[in-house]
This record gives sequence, C-alpha cells and structure tokens, in this order.
Amino acid sequence: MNQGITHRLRLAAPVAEKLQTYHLAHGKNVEAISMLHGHGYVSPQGAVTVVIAKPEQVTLFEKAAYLRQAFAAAQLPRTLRGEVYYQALQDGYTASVDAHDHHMVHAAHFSGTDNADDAATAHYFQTTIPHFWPVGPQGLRLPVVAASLVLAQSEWTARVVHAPGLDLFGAPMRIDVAGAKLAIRSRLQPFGAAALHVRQAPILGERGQACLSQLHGVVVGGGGTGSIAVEMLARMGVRRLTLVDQDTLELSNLNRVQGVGPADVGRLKVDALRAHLARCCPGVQVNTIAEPIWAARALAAAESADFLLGCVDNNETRWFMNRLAVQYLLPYWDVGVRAKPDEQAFGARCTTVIPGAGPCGHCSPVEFFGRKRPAAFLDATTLAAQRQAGYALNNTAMTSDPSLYALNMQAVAQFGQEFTRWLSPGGVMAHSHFQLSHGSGETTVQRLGSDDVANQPDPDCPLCGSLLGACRSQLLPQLNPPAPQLSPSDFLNL
Amino acid sequence: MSRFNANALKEVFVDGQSRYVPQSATLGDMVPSEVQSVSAINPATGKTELVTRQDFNSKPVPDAFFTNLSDFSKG
Repeated sequence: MNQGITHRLRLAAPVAEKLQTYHLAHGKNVEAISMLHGHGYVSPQGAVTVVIAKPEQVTLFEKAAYLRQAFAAAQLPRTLRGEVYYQALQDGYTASVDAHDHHMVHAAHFSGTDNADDAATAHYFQTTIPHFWPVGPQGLRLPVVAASLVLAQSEWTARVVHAPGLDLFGAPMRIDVAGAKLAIRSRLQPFGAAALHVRQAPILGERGQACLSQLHGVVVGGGGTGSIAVEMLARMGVRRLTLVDQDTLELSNLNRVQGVGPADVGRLKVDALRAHLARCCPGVQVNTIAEPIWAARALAAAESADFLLGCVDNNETRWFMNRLAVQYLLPYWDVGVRAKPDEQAFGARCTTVIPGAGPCGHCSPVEFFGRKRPAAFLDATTLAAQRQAGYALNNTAMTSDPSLYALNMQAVAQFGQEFTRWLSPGGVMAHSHFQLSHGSGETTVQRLGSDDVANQPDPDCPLCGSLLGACRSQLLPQLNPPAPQLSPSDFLNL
Repeated sequence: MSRFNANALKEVFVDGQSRYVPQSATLGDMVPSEVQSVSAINPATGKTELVTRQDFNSKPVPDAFFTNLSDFSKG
C-alpha cells in the first residue's frame, strides 16, 4: 500500500448530522446499522474517494427490520441488505458504505466481527456486484467501490472494503465532513511543525491546525490575488497546493503579483510562484499546471483536492469552478476585485460556497458570476443560434481591467478570515458573501451570512438538485471544441 | 413467431387469487391505477407492511443478486 496516498470519505454536513442522530443519540443502548450510497472513484494514483452528498442517500432501519439488535451487536437479513444495494445500483450510485456504531465508546476500532463481515462484503463486491454496475453517461459501466464506517462518540473510522482492480481492502480512509466548519472525524496525525505555527495554533485550535496540514488546495489563477493567496495558505500550514494558470508574467503584472521580480517576466506564473514558495515555505509540496481548470490534468488534481480557491478574472472559470465544486462536493472560495477609476469606486470580495451544506453559486442570492452557460461551453449549433438571436456576443475578447496591489491584498485578507473561521472551533457559514466597497466617498463593509442567506441548498437549483456529489457519474461541461484527452503518464506529477 | 413460455412467468396472489405474470412484472403492472397502496408481507421481517404507490414500479431483485451475499453482522 502506498503510504503517501490519502483515501477519503467525504460527507456533507447534513449527512453526518443524520448519522450522528441515528447512531449516537443520547441514551441509545443498542448497536445499529445504516447504509450510505453515493458516488466514488479511484484517482490515477490509486486514491479512493467516496462522496455522500445528501441525507436521502442514507438508509436507516427500524427496530423491526433487525434480526438481532443488542448492546454490542447488530444483524440485518441478507434479503433486506440485497434490496437496498439493488435499489442503489438502479439509482446509478457508484459507492456503498456500510455504517454501524460503537455507541458505548469514544474511540472507533473495527472488531473481529466487523472484519469478517467486511471480508464477505469485499467478496460480494468483487464477484456479484460487477454484473450490476450502473451505466454511465458515455454508455460505459461505472465501477462501484465499497467502504465501511464505524461511528464512536468522539471519533469515527472508515476503511476501503473494495476498489475494483486494486488490492486496497482495509486501507484507512480520512473522514471529512464538509460543512460550516471543516471536521475531520477520523484520527489525525499530529502536526509536526509546532514551533512554526505556535502563535497561530491558539486561534485555529490544535485540531484545526492539524486538519489544515492534511489539506490539498487547488488554487486557480496565479495573478494579483492568487499569488498572495497561495503564499498565505502555505504560511498558514497547508502542505499541498496545486497552482493552475496558463499565463506568463508580463511587466504590467509586477505591480501586484507577489513574490516575483523583473527577472521572472516571460516565465509561467505558476513556475515563478512555485520557486517563490520553495524559498519561503520549503515544506510545502507545490504542483503546477499551466492549463485551464477544465484541462484533464487540472481536473484530476481537483478530484483529489480538499478545497478550491478561485482567483480569476473571467466568468467562464467561475461558472466552471462552481459546477466542479457542486459535482465533487468541494468547498469553494471565490475572490474578486473591482476598480472603476472614473467613478472613484473600488471593491474587494470573497464568497464562500460549501456545497451540500449551503447554496452554490447558482442558487446563491448573490450573483457573483453569470449563471448562463458561457459561450465557450456551448455546442456550435446552439452558439450560432444564440448569436443570431442576439443572446451571445460575437467578440468575447478579454480586456485588462485596472488593478491595485492593495485591493488584491484586501480580497485575500477577506478570504483569509473566512478560511480561518472554517478551520477554527467557531466555524464559518455554509454560504457567505464578504464585501468591502468604496465609492462616493464612503466605505462600506458587508458580510451576508446566516441571517441573509439560506443555510441549505435550494432544492430547485439545477445544480444542487441533480448534480450534487455526482462526481464522475455525470460529465462535466465540455469546451467547444473539446480539450484533448491525456495518457496515464500525464498524471504522474499530480 | 413468439412462443408461450411458462417458465418466463411467475405466480402472484392478488386479493387471494392466483395470477401468472411475466417475471419482470412489478406491482405497478398488476394493480389498478386508482389503488394508492397495498398491504404485503415483507419477506425480510415477516411482518405486514403498507406498500405505497410510489414503490409499485420498483423492479424485483434478481436471484443472482443474492449470490455470495450474507446477512449484515456487525459487532
């Protein structure tokens, strides 16, 4: 087993709450079983990720359904178990998690009975289930992964039971609960660099600091805001970052791109930033991808990420990143700046999207990107029809907006506050919009939070309603013309 | 020309009366459209339960699906 690989069980906060209520309620004195169905995939490096995005993907059982339910044992009949598995496959799910509790203890461990049950489940998923794999969007059968979860009062533990084609039985999975506060429910490795963060740990808490060190962030955009944000994340203690930007540095960028100088002009932004981070934060693993976020290598990095940060200046990327965040249940922050010199108006903004726990960018009351499918993602026929009808512009060439280092710093500072809240014991909100604007001689600071914004996805949202946590079972929007496919060797450096 | 195949049918009892229906038939194929629910014995628990209209079209689980499947047994 590759020790450097992290297998993940990612639960939306409402899913974790449902499990907590059923399995660990105060006064409960018998063990219980539940079944979770969602979507799963295996990365090119062999990392298994299972995503459970909605409470309705959790099947709970009434007392009458059990063959036996005792203080430290629970049994359900195979017929009932088979019916639930079968329905899940009919519904197109590609991941199954058997969950039960050790309600009487604080630390979670798999017992000998659990080992025997999981071994039998692995055999079943290896022999019978492949005949019933659901059909995916391109007509190919989608492999189904299986996992097992034990919930104890303080700590939960999960492991891989079956991943098609790989010998991963028993591999531990990190359990992430994506909500208003990041919670890693499984046991964490102690964070080794205590001296470096001795003055920050009291704010984040020891556990928040340890969580931070486990995260892999994908930062899209290496310009004014992106360069400041990646340095901030690295200094805070994120130890794995993937930078995505295809642009090269120009002289006019140097007024605001942090960590670079005149000698870097002409270099790829991501390369210059990686060199800078190697100097100031040598313990951080920085991967670079000089392509747009919808390129295959960038998508592979996003699939293995724990959060997305958008530091971009265009609508297409924001629209796509929001879709990516919803489909893979990835917390997503978007920062932006605005300067209108004619009106002497300036603004900086950070928007927080925690899919599954709050509205996404599409159902948010704040429209921080255009929700209409961008022309770049329309097929030729639709685009031609829209242009003829006047719904799409013929010329979408980018213009260089005015920009200021201080504004970029302001936007990243707002992101830093939201990100810190997400990690700290108090938590943030599942959706927030933090904005500072200056105009007409007045400066206003607004933070739309739980009083102003619904703290759950809109069930009628076209994204949250049908694509939340869908992972690879649904195709992401394709560029027109489509981006080239890559060979497996292209993924080696991610 | 299609031929009658008795093996492709299964026997079901509706209100105590025997009927032969295709193996793939669901409750939705057998119950009149105005019926909103029926009571049936759950084979897993042996108890009588109410099956609602939205469950009528669920497909029967093929026998092969139970190959290698054991009871859940957690401890």
